[in-house]
Amino acid sequence: MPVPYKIPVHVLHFLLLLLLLPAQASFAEPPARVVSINLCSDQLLLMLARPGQIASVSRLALEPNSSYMASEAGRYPVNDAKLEQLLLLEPDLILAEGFTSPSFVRLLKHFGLRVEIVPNSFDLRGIRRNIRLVATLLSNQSQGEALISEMDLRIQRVADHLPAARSKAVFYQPRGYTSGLDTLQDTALNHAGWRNLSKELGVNGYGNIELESLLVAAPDQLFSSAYAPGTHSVAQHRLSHPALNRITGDRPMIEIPYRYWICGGPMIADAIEILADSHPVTP
Amino acid sequence: MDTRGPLLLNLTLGFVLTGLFLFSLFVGSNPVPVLQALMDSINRDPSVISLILTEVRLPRALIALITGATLGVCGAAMQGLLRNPLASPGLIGSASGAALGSVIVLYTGWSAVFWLALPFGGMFGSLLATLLVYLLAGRDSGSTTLILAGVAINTLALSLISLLLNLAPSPYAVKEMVLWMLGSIAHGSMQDFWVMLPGTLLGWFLLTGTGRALDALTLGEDTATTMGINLPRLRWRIFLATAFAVGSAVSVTGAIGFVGLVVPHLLRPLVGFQPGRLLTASAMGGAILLLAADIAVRLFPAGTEIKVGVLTSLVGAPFFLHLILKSRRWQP
Amino acid sequence: MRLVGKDLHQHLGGQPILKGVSIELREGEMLGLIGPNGAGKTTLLRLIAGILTPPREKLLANGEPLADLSQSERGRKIAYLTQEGTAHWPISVGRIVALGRLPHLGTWQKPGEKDDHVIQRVLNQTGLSGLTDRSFPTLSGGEKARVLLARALTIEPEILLADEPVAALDPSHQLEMMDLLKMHCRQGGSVVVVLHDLRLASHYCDRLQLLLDGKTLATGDPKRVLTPGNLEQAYGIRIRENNTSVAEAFAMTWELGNSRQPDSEA
Repeated sequence: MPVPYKIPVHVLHFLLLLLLLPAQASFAEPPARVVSINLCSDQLLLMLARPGQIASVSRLALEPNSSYMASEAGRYPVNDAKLEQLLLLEPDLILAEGFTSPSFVRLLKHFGLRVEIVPNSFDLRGIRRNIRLVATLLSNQSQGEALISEMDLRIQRVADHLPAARSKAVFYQPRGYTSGLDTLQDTALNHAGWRNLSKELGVNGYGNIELESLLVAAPDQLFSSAYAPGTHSVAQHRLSHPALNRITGDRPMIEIPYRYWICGGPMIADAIEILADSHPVTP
Repeated sequence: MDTRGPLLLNLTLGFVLTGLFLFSLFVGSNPVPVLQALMDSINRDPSVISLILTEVRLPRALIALITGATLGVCGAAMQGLLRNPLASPGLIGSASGAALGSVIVLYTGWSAVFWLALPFGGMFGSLLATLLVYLLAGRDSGSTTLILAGVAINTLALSLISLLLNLAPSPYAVKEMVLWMLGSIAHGSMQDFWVMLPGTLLGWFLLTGTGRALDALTLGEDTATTMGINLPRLRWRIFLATAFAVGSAVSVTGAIGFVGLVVPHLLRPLVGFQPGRLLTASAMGGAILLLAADIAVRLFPAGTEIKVGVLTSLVGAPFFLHLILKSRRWQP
Repeated sequence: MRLVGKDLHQHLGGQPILKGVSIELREGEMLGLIGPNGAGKTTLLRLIAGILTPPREKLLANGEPLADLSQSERGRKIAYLTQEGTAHWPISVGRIVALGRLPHLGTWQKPGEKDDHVIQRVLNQTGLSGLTDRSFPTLSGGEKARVLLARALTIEPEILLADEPVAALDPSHQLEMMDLLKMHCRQGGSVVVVLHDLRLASHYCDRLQLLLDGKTLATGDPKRVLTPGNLEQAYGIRIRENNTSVAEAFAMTWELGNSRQPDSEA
C-alpha cells in the first residue's frame, strides 16, 4: 500500500517524547542518559558519572586547552547544544551552566526535557556545592565526596608550606583584563599565598586594568592564562610589553593553562599548586 | 618674496608640536611626577615612575608623533600629486591596504618569526591597494571617480580583513576589527616604535625634495613635464613613499582615519595653497592632531576604551562632507 | 636657438596624427601653426615640448639632437603654454608667475636676486604687478591667460610654444596677448603659436605653417600661405567678394585703443 506522505523522523521522536512525558515526571530512578551542553557541566559530568550514564558532552569538552577532561570526553558523542540534536539524543537529564541562555533552557523545558543548571562558582565553597549537586543528580554521592576530600587535601598541603610573606601578584589577560573579587583566579591566588593586587585596586569580578595603574601597583609577579596559546593577535602581542617584564624585575609572566580554572572544579587544586610553586625564591 | 610666511607658520607648528609632545608625557591614568621620573631614568634608577615615563608614555607619544606626521605628509603629497583635495591615505586605499597586509602577517604569526615582517606586510598591502585605486580611477580622474575607486578598494580590503580576523586561530582576533578599522595607539611600546620607524623614515626621506615638482604640477601634468619634472618618477616616488610610511605606521596603529585628509586641507590656505610648502606643515599638523586626539582619549574615565581613531574620524567625517559639498559646487 | 624637425611622425591611440611634418624655427622668429581641427598642430607642439618623444635624430636644436638635453635643461630653454591651461589650487598670481623660475633652481636652491628681478620684470611687462596677491580663480579669463603666459615668460625660454593662447579672449585681450608674444621675439626668443584666427596669424606671424591631415600643406610668408586655393583645401572656406585680395581680407583693421595701451614697454 503506498504511503501518502512521509513523516520526518524527528517529528516521530517528538511525538514519542510527548507520550513518554508522564513517565519522566517521576525521578525515582537515577538518570540513564545524561547530556551536558556546556563546558563546565561537561567537566563535572565526566568526573562524576557512573559507567554508561553519559549520552553526550558538548563539543568544547574535546578541546584540550579548555577542557580538563578532554581525553575522557573523546569516548562520547558530542553535541552542539542544538534543539533537534538534543531531542534525538533522548536524554533523561540535561546539564547546563549558569551562562546558558535562559530562553534556550525554557525552550528545552517546553519540549518536556529535564534541565538542571550547574551554577557558576567563584570559590571553593561554590565548587564543593556544584560537585555535590551534580553527584546527587547522578546518584553518585560517594564519588562526589571523594573528589572534594582529595581537592581539599591538596589545597591543605599547599597551605602548610606557604612562605611567610605574601608577594603581590596580578592576573593579567590579553586586552588588559584582570580578575578581582569573586573570581576563581582570586580564590586560587589567595590559597596559593599571593596578594591579588587587582582585588586590592577594587576590581570586582573580571575587569579592565590600566597599564599605568598596573605598573604603579608594582606587582612582584604577573600571571596570565591566555586562550589558544601559540596563536597571534595584537592583544596577545601586547602581553610582551617591555614595561610588564621590567616591573617584575625581569621575572617573566607565568602562563597557567586555563583548563584549571575556566570552570569551577576540583582541578583548581592544580592551579593552586602551580601558583604556590611560583613564589619568588628569597635568598 | 614671501618666505617669511611659511617660516612663521612652521615655527608656530613646531612650537605647538613640542608643547603637545611634552604635555602628553604628563597625561595618564595616574599622576606621575614627570621631572622626577626623568631624573630617575637618567640615573638609571628603575623606579615605577621612570618605567611609566619611558616605557608607557614616551613610546605612545612617539608613535602618535610619527604616525600623525606620516598621515599628514602623505595626505599632502597625494593631494598634490593627484591635484585632488580628497586624495588621502584613508580614501585612496593606502591605509586599508596596509591594514590588510599587516593583518595577514600578524595573525598568521609571521611577524613573530621576523620582526620586520609586520611593516613589510603593511607596505606591500598599502602599495597594492594604492596602485589599484590609481589604475581604476585613471590618471586625471575627477573626485567622484577617485572616491568611487577608493570606496571599492577600501570595502574589499575591509571585508578581507573581517574575513581573516574571523578565520584567525586566535580567539582575540575577531574583537580587533575595530582596532584595524579605526586605529589605536594605546599600549604601544618602544618595540612597536622601533618596528614602525625604519619604514616611516624611508618614506619621509623619499618625500623630501618633491615639493618643487608638486608646485609645478599645480599647472597640470603637461606643463610640469615641460618644466623639467619627470612625472613617472615622481609618481612612483610618492606612491612608494606613502606605501613605506603609511604601511609601517598602520601596521602598528591600524588605519587611523581622516588625519591625512583634514590636516592638509586645514593648512593649505596658510601656505598660500602651494603644495610644496604644504608638506612640512602637514607633517607637523598631522602629528599635532594625533597627539591632541590621543591626549583627549586619555582624559576619558579609566576603563573606557575609546580608540584614538574614533576621535579623528569624528572630527574628520564632517570635513569630508564639507569637501564633497564644496567640490560639488565648483564642479557642476 | 634654431630648431629643425625633419619628417616627424606620431601615432596616438593607433591613429596616425603626424605623417611626415618638417618644421624649422629661426631665432627671433614668430611661427604661426594654422590648420583645421585635428590637423596635428598640438601634437607637433607636444613633440617639440618633450611631452612626446620623437626619434632622437629627427628633432635638432642648433644642429644637436634635442633629446640630448636633460629634462631640466630642456625646461629652461623651451616653455609650453597649454591649451586651456589652469591652476589646480587657488594660488596667488605672484606665486604662479614665480613657478616659472623652477627649472632654473636646484632642489634645495632658494630663488635669488636674479630670479626676483626676472619675476618683477615679467609682472611689469604683462601688467600684472597690481594683481600679485589675487588668487587665480578670482581672475577674469583675460587675466588668467596673461598670468599663465607670464609664468612661461618667467622661464626666459629661447622658444615659447603657445597652443591657441587667444582662443577664449575678447578682441583687446587677443591683441594684448599677441603683443606680448611679439615682445618675446623682439627680446631674442622665438615663438611657435597655434592660431585659428587667420587675421591675427597673418598680422603677427613672420611665417605660417599650414597643416592638413598630419602633413604640411604650405609654409612660408603669410601672404603665400593664405591663398584662396589653400584656404579652400584646408578649411573649405573662400573669400566672399571676388575682388577682395587675400591681403585685404586678413588685414588687421583694429588696434588697441588709448585706454588699453601698455604703460611702458621694457
